[in-house]
Amino acid sequence: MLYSNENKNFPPPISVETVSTRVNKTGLWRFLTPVRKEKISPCRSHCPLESGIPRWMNKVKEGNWEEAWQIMREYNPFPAIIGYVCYQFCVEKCSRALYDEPIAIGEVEKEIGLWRHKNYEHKNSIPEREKSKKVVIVGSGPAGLSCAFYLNMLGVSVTILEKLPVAGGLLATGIPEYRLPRDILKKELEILKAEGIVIKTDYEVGKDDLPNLQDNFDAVLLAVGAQESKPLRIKGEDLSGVTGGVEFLRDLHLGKLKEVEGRVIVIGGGNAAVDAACAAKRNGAEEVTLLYRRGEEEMPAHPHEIKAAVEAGVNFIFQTVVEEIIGESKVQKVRAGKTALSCRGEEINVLAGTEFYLDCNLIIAAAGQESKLSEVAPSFPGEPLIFAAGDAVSGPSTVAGAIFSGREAALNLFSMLEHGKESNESFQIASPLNGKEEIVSFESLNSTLYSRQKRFDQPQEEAGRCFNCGLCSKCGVCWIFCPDLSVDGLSGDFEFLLDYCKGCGICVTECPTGVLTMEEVVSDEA
Amino acid sequence: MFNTQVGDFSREEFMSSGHNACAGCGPALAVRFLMKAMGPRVVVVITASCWSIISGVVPLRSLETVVMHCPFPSAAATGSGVKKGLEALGDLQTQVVVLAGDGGTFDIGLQGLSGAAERNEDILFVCYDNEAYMNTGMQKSSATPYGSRSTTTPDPMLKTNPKKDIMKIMAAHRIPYAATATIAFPEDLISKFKRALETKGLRFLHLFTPCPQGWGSPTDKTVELSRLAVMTRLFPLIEVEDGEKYTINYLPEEHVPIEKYLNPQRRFRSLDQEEVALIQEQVNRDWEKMCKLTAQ
Repeated sequence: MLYSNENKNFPPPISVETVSTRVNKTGLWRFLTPVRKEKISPCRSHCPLESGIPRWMNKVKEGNWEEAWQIMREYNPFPAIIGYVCYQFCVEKCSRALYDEPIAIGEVEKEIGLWRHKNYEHKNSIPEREKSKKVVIVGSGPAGLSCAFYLNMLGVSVTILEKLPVAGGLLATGIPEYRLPRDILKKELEILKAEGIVIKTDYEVGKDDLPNLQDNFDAVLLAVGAQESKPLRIKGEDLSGVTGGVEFLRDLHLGKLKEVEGRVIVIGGGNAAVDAACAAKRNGAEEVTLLYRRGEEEMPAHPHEIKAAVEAGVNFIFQTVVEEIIGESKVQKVRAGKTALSCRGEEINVLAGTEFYLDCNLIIAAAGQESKLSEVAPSFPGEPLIFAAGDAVSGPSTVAGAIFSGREAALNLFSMLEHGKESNESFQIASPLNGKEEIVSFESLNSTLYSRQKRFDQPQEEAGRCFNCGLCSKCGVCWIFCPDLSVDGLSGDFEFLLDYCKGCGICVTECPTGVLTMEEVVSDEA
Repeated sequence: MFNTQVGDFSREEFMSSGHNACAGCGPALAVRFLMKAMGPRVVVVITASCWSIISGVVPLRSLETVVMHCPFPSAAATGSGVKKGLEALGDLQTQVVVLAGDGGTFDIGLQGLSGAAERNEDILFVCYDNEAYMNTGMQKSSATPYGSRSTTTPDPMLKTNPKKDIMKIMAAHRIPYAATATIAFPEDLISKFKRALETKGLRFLHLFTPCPQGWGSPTDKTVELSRLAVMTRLFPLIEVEDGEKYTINYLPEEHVPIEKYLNPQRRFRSLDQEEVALIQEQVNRDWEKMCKLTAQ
């Protein structure tokens, strides 16, 4: 540089040193070494899907929707659906909440899904004749669809059997339309079909059909969900006018039930109970009362749901248990009693002398759901090529939980089909976390590099607010603040030049995403 | 988005690794930015200071340009001479940058600097201020702040006088451009260097550069401390044109208490709460005065 100057006058006639200080390997001064190690973000650690949120956020920030989708599908094949229905445990843990306002993660996720819907093109799919393995999935809920998506991606021929006339399971017949617009589900199903997945509706699988399925397919996945309301086990339960929560919602969504009339009592405190109460109110019920046997704080339903129900005009009566349903052939009233305070898992004690009566025309029993899994497959678990996933295994959980379960099932099922073939990178399916990974704390981020900002409406701008916790976003802050020029700024990867790093730790303190740590590294020279 | 748009910085470096600065050196980082803004076509005049060593002992050099060392009091005079010499050779392009520590600016070099400023020599005088004679073992200078420990003001005989206001002194010389900058705000710093290069006459830059060795702060806190100095309003980022027009370049969004800046440093360890309150009061007063100056 010095002597290649074009100007003859420079350098001026003066003696200069000619040896660069680069001969000094100042790296030998170092006690601790900066190490770049990607960590788990708090949002990811609380996501039922373990979605790599910072990774796809980073792509949305760059405006690269195609790559954002490519990353998204490693974790979640249905971002539009999740964007609508998920309770967003991630947002509760977002580090940005400790700074100004949490990122609208669900909104950005939804936008990725909608982008995918708009830009879907059929490509790169494996021709039917090359698909040597065939798998049948019983149930077309989120778990079944998710498993189908991944298996199809891995080159397995997939057939889904659904007993109802519509596909989608709970997504079609459980979740209210105001939470999930049905055209979103329709589009997802269209895409799955276009990708070569066969979905047969009105096809019920009983226990006698299982051997038949085993003969025709290489493996069977049971994703039948938990679609039966648990019986209340009280007197009068058989009267007409008593229905289950999921059954009520299903009938409503399938159009079997057009209108609700009169006074409705909902029994239970979970999301299904609250959804059913809301749906009853919206479909013409005069008065809807939800009875829960414990206090409000103990309700398993999500606070968002409870709030929506209160806004819809549902009455809540807590610490109340129904002891008897009274009526002649049809429900007329219930006998209820007050309960002592208790936490979930504790026994319920009815207080003596507190009984009272409530009039009603319809009772929706939504105190828990159970699965028909054991009916369909009495031999499960035990047979090697019969798998199960979703609510059928875990009991009622979330849509995200079911998709995660389907993803895991696809991984396991595929490895089993390929005879212990190790999972590898080309899988493009995220492996589950083991729970021991380091989670990035807010304190380890350098938030001072960001100005305080409230949420944006534009998804790309909103993604720009993401701290990208635990993910190197190649921002170059480590490079710019290095007094020893021991971060390589030319390569774009910002590698450490450990020959010269004195181990001051400025890069670690300044790193805005918390991917750097100082560690004791024993070098070969030592 | 980031406040620091790293993507905009030039990737080209005119300084080499392997220099002799301590781990976490603020001045080393400041000069790295300086060279980024300057490019190689520059003569750097270095007076006795940490940078005499960092620029390399014979036969080494860490700056990819011509470096000239000079005695302690004569930094500005040497710079002026080099510039005149270059002009005599017909080289009107090459810039002369004088690099001095706070000792070489506030104390020992002040008369030379004052003379050069009065003559309005065409040089860029850069003072990297680490608030004591760090190279010789942390003796106090007139840039050492009130309440600081040093080897000549040991505990409990802490420094009782406040830091000299060098910006006012330079403004009083009515030089065309004077500015303060610090390493935590590289964008601001580099743009000020560039602005200084475009100006003719004596330009003065006061750089706030924490010294982990002397200040007793963790080596990784160098940039953080310099950021805190700005956030606490202790070290406002300003520009002064022609000794008259004051501009504040960065208005901190919120009030950060001075303790946040003082606490990580061992040199302020023996201050009690009363003294900290005094420092806070002084900072508030100075900030108000600065705001008034910019309003005029």
